Amino acid sequence: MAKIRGSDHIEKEIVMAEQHTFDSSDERRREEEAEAAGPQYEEKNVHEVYEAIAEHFSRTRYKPWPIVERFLLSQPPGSIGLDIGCGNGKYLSVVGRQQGVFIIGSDRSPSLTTIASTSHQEHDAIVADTLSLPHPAASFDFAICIAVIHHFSTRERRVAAVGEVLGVLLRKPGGTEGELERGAGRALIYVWALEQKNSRRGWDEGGEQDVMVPWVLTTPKPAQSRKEKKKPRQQHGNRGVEDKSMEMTNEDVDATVVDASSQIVNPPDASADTEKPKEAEKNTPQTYLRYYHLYRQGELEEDVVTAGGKVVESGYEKDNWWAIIEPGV
Amino acid sequence: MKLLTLNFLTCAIKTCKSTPASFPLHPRDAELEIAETDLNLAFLKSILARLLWPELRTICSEFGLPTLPESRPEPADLVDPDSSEGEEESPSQTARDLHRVLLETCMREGKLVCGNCGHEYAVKEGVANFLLPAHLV
Repeated sequence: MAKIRGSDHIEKEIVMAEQHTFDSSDERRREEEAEAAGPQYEEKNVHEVYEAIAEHFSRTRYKPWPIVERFLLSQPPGSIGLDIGCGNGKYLSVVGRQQGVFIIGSDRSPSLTTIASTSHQEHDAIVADTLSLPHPAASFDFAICIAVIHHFSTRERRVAAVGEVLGVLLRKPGGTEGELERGAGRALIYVWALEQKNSRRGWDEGGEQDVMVPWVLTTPKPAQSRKEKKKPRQQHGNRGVEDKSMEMTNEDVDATVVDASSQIVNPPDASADTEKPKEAEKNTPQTYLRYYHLYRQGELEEDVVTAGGKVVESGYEKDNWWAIIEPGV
Repeated sequence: MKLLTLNFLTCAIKTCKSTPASFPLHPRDAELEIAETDLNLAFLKSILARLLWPELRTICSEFGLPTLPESRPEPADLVDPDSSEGEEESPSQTARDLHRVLLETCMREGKLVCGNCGHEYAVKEGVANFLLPAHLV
């Protein structure tokens, strides 16, 4: 290992070059496939990826975003809500019976749903598709849909997803017989922004809105097809992955693009500066690419209105556009 | 999966959702388990109004559970009348029964069947799967 010490800059170039290859080939593939086959495209470029990275992804998802937390804490006692695309269920721990709130989480990934369901027992989680939610219409006081809708690969499908979220919310004046008088249900939606000037990813206004975002994962299993490609990095221990992680990660947001694979091998804090060749040989990093549609300013609001909803409040927070919405009149 | 959740689940197929026959879903080959949890009286009182009572009764009877009262209890019915004044309210038997049914009784294995189209959704290890085959989306 000694011979490659101090050559991080070279390694960085290798990483960047690989990155570039992934981006361009995948972009071509995406363009060819996306319009013709939304569901199949998403199956391959979103669902299969989350299923594969579920466990690692889940370990990096534990800190709730402040606006989401505030939205959940503002729900009055007796509120029943949905967390659509709940992932590992990190928002299911924000409110519970103490606040008089019950949430049903749903996610497309069975592995993430199982994590959500077993670790947040005050609530419940089911496997469901956001475009085919198994809930009676107009039944919920609130919903959150965080970092989900940007994974749909056509505008039509993104608008349909917003429509599905609007459809489960209670309508004004709300409630069936015997219920308290309530206003319309409200949903909070978060999507990744195109305008990420201050992030290391360098996306900004006018740029490509449909992108592939890598997730680097080290698995304890012997690597399959990508092994040959990754060999240079493998010999460098975990360093290559660390570098890439620094490249891509905005530490302020947990919409982390790439995370250091070493967390799986070593305890998080011990891993960064130690090189363990033996472990590195066993653990070949795998790069998984997820499709994202990056929203430009105003686009989320346009989609909400097209879907028949009303924007109550909206804004930008740390690389994301968000909106609080309710069903239109 | 809690029975409270079942009170908010219907068929995932769009054409079914608008028909009354699709709600509630019907359990088949169900395996139930009891997962004990602390009773939170304030929580029970607050969600009482949000329960779809006739449907909840149907769900209970299909699972072969004790029958719930015909009409929805009032929040006051959940408080033990013998609770001494000034002290923290204690739950009535109705509250205990409701807590057991809604929050402690979980469907562990089995199927949920739509009364309109007959589609079956599997429940495995307490997680229901509502993903549809491509031809039904």
